[in-house]
Amino acid sequence: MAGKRKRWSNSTWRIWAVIGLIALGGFAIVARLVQLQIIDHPRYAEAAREMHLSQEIISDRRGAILDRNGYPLAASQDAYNVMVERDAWANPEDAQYAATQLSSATGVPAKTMIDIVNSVDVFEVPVAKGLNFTQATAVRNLQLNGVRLIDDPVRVYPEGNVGAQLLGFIGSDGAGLTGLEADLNAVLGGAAGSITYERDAIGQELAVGERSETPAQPGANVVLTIDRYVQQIAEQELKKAIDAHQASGGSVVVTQPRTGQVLAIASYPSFDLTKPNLNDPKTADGIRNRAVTDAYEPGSVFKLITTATALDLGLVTPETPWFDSGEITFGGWTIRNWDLSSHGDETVQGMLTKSLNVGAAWVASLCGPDNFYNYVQAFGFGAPTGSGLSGEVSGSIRTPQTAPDDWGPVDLATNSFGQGLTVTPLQYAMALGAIANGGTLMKPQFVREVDGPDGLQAIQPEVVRQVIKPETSRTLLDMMGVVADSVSSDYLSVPGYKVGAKSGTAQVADGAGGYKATYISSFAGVVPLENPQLSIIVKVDEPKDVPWGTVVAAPVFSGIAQKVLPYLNIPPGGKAAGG
Amino acid sequence: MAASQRHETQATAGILGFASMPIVLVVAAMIVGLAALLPLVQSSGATTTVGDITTLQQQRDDWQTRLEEEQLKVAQMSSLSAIRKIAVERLHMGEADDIRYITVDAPAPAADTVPSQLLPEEQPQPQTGNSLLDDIIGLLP
Repeated sequence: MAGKRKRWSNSTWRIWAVIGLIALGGFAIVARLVQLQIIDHPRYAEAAREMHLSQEIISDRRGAILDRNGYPLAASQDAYNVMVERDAWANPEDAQYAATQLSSATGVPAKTMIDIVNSVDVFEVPVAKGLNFTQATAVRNLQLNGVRLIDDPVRVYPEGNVGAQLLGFIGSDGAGLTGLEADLNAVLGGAAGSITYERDAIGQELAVGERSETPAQPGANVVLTIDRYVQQIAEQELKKAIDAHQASGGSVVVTQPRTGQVLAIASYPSFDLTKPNLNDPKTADGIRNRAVTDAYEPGSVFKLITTATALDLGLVTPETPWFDSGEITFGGWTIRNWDLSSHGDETVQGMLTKSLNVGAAWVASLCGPDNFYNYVQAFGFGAPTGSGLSGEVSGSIRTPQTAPDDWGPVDLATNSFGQGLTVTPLQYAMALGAIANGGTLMKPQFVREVDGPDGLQAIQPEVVRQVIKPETSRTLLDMMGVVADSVSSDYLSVPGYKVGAKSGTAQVADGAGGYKATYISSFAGVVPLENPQLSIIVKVDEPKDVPWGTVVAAPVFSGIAQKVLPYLNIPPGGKAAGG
Repeated sequence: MAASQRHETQATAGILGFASMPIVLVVAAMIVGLAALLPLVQSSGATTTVGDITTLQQQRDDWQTRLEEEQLKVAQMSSLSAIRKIAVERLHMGEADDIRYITVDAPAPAADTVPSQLLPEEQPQPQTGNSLLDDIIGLLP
């Protein structure tokens, strides 16, 4: 009996042990299933979803940049890249067949494409880039396994390199890198969208699978104030002068005084907008929009600002007499005329016409530093113009308040004829516009309209402030007319139109408190004098033969005005300037 | 009487059990088979429709791309360099070497116009007339 119980006990124990093990295994399996299917369900469900869902980021067309008349300066064109899956071309015979077919559609040699695919160890590789629509359609019709097309739009420039620095260029990711392409990237680029779809084993979209789409927003078209013809003429005339005088560079700004709209902004050297080579230092130099990034000592053109200050304060009139002894002393420093001579009895008009430094210093001393610098700053110098262009600098104006330890009476004298302070061509163009616009300083305007998904948005001209009285403006314009009349028609000639102008010739600062033996030649003019419609500032850097603004820069003004005035249907008034 | 009832029962059973059962089974099998095909038919229809939509979308995109390419061609043909080339090479025009200006007592000509397709689309002006509510209020004494 005891033996039976023992045998029974042994077998019972074994049975229960087996049952226990099975139960334990079953419990482990159930626990694991609970973990996988209940606790971790969201994670695995998401992983499974991701395995058979694909997402593509889509972007709509980048907006175009148009000139003021609607002609495109930069626009996007659809282009396509051919992508090949390495696995699809793993078999050499299949690869050769597919590559031969592709070659006939793309023009890329079959061997080149096969080499590209074999040279990398990635899932998919581009074998042909920048295909046009016809080529892309041919590739699509081949319906080759493992071959697909992706959009890779390219930027095209119907006007070539016109306005290169202003427009700028985009990177390989389609985002703006320089110029307006960068400054207006958010407007031009639109917003990216996405397509999520269920795919089959070879990556093709399932016809009745899950699909969701967030549409991309197209970029807005931006209409500039720039006129393509005026811009081209400005660039051509500037380059002509730079070549003729072997200058190192230069800038031209053409504006409408009444609106502040910039019709042209040219800088030289420039670069090839269609194929910018960023490894070339010359390209980096040419990308700079010198009209806003480069501050320079303006020289005698600044005498207009000095004269405007004294006229507006009622301290002088064009006929106010003064005696030019050829030199004047400020704080122990002696100021002399550019020709190192004295001119005896003179008037304020004579000071401006003959560009006498001594007279300008005397006029500034009449104004006093507080008044002088208040007007200088009111004209917009020493602060960005608010153009919105990246890289714009403020220039440098030292005043008794801003630089008490670094300012002396002689600075007032040198500043009066444009030395010891720096401005940008755009700043000076806007100040010149204020003189031509009844004393009202306008904000420079580059964008006229934005035509986007939300509709057409017109940008209105913006007044900054009234700087001088309208009477002062008229008086100064007439004085500029006298100055222009004194310039030889060999350099300044706008037949049929009367011009108001002032030239400048300034030594280039060496950055250490002294000056180099090179010059910046400049010329500021408005036309027609009776009712100015255009103000033009020309700056030529370091001409090699002659330094004079009248000789180097005035012909650029003439060349632009001669061509642009008839083009813009601006009627002449008054007698012709020069010849 | 009883014999008659038994005969009717047998006849009915014959109809249901002998003659009709295979038919019922076949019909049932066909119904089940057809029902099983329904999702396939639906799926096929949906696939065809999706395929049609995809084709039409592709055609729409192709036409849009062609249109944009043509617009760009127009832009390139309207460029200053293209105009200059036509003027010089086809029309044999050149730069004037003796420009003479004459002044006439007449208003300046209108500004040049550009092709309308190159200009931004004009936005419709908002209605400035009275609203219906204003009209109703206006009728009140």
